[in-house]
Amino acid sequence: MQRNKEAEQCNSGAILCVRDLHVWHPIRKFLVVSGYVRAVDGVSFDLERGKILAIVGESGSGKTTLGKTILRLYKPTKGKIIFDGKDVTFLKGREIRWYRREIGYVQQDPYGALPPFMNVRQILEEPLIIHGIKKDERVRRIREALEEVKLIPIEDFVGKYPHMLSGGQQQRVVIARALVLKPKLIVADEPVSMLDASVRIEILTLFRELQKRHSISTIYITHDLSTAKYFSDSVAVMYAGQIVEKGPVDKVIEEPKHPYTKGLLKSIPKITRKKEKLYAIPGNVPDLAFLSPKGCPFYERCEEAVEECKEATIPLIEVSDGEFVRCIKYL
Amino acid sequence: MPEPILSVKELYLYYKVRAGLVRAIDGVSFNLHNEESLAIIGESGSGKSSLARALLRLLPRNVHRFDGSVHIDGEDVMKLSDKEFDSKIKWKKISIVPQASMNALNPVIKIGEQLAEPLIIHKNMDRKEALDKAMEMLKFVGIPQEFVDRYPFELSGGMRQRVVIAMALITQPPIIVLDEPTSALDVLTQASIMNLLKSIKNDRKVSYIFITHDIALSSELSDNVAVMYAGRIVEYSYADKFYKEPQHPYSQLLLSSVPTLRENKDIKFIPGEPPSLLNPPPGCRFHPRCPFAMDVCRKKEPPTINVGRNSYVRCWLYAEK
Repeated sequence: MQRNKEAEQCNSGAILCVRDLHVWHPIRKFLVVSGYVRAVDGVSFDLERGKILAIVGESGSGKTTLGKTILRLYKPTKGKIIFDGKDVTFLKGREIRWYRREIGYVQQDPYGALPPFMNVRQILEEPLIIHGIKKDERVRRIREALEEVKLIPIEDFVGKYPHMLSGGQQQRVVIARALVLKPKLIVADEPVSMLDASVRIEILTLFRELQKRHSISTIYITHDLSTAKYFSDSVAVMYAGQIVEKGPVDKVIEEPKHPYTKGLLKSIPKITRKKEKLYAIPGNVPDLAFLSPKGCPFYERCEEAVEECKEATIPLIEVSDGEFVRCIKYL
Repeated sequence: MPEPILSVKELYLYYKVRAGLVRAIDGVSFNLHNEESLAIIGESGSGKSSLARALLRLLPRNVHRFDGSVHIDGEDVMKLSDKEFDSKIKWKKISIVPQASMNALNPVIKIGEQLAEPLIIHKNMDRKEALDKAMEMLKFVGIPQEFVDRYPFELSGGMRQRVVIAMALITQPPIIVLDEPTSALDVLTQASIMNLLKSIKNDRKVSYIFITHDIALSSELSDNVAVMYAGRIVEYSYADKFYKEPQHPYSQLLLSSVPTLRENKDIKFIPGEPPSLLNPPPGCRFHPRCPFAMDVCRKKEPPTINVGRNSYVRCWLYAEK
């Protein structure tokens, strides 16, 4: 009964609903499991149809693992992933192929994501062949996808190999490849962090347009809150495998509640010409293999920490409509 | 005005490839004064990394043309042979923190040994003395001393970056070229590396050439700013002026493409791609993407125009009619 109840809680407008998701990678020593890396540790969120959710965090916060688990490239340990009303948490075989058609993936490093010996046409055609789409339909879809990402005139691009394209163009090909199967959801894992600042805005604007035109929902994984502000509707901040704060993007950026979010915001350089130092949160992300199950994982780096933080297990607390924070101060 | 520590005049660097000549640096001139930091901003393919390599003479084999004048600490280094340059200038007067420097470390040599190497080669120190110095340097950049015996893979990205910075500092050169020193790091690590670079500048009295494509970041560490486009410096200005009133249309567009956290402005991007350095467009190289392009821009190259104290721009909009 408990399970059904959780599934019911999913908002009916949500394209993706993640509940209490755990991804623990076992650490093996001589085939004996000696512990777990708790990369994702009890994450829940809803992504509404046609919206963009930014998942923000440092390297090592588990944001990429979360993305890959949603794509079902990793197997969840526990929890639920409900996509379009269907439970996809433990899908297998033929079923997973259906799911993979519905979601697209855009990787961080476009050059690494594209096979160097295939030209743009072959790259875009491959997923269509795998999913058994007929020849004329394939030609039409490739044309559409290239037009969609503005690689026009398309005749100039279909015959090119990845090394002949600039970084921005390569990333467009990766996006086109994610689009050819007409997915309902795109997971974009740091899609612009390898690109120039000026090209970044162009690529992110493209995501916004796709979202508006085709109401494709997007999960935008990034470490940069300043781009999240412009290109997402809601934000979830991750730390040590958990969501520490989530809510509408304006609220999180204008009135951050969690000390970690505050620190992240302060560390972003801005054009002010003040000679003062940038703020950097002291210390490093905790090693997820040796994390104590008790207490707040941010405790050691937190400037507002109190004694209780060491022991207490803190739930995600709703502080206002749609805004959640995991911090003892709001209990 | 005192003598600049680095003075570059009319520097050219062309590469030869099968398709023709790549004009990576096409007549670049600038001065860098003591304890000053010059930010060089540009998109990928604007020639900024080539400039870094040219200053250090870390050139590939297919160089077609490499001339101009470069004075480092009063010495005309273009007259030196490669061997003389290696022994007299490289590491002693100028060093580099290369791009993607996380991967610049040798994976099979301990951190301490790698740090000590330039001292042994360039300063003729014995091994023991060099290792002591290496430990001291590690401490200075904020890495625990026991890390001398570790291998690069045992360090996080930010720590490796600190090691590479320590390496550039260890021979105490007056000029350090930073080629996108934080481009592969996340915001928090970036902030701590930038703070380290700032404190080094204050404590060690070094001059920086800070190459980046991130304008917001460049404002953290610059006294002067040079904007590069298609192998040329299109605007040179002092920082206070540049970030407030950029002159060149390209700089203006670059600045308006920076996402800001606190204010709600429309962010724009610059349409089109940077030009190919194989056959750059005639006239002003920015004219195909420029919103203010005029007839003259398509035909004639703009001259360098002085627009106030220590600021120059290459644009026909500022030419006297």
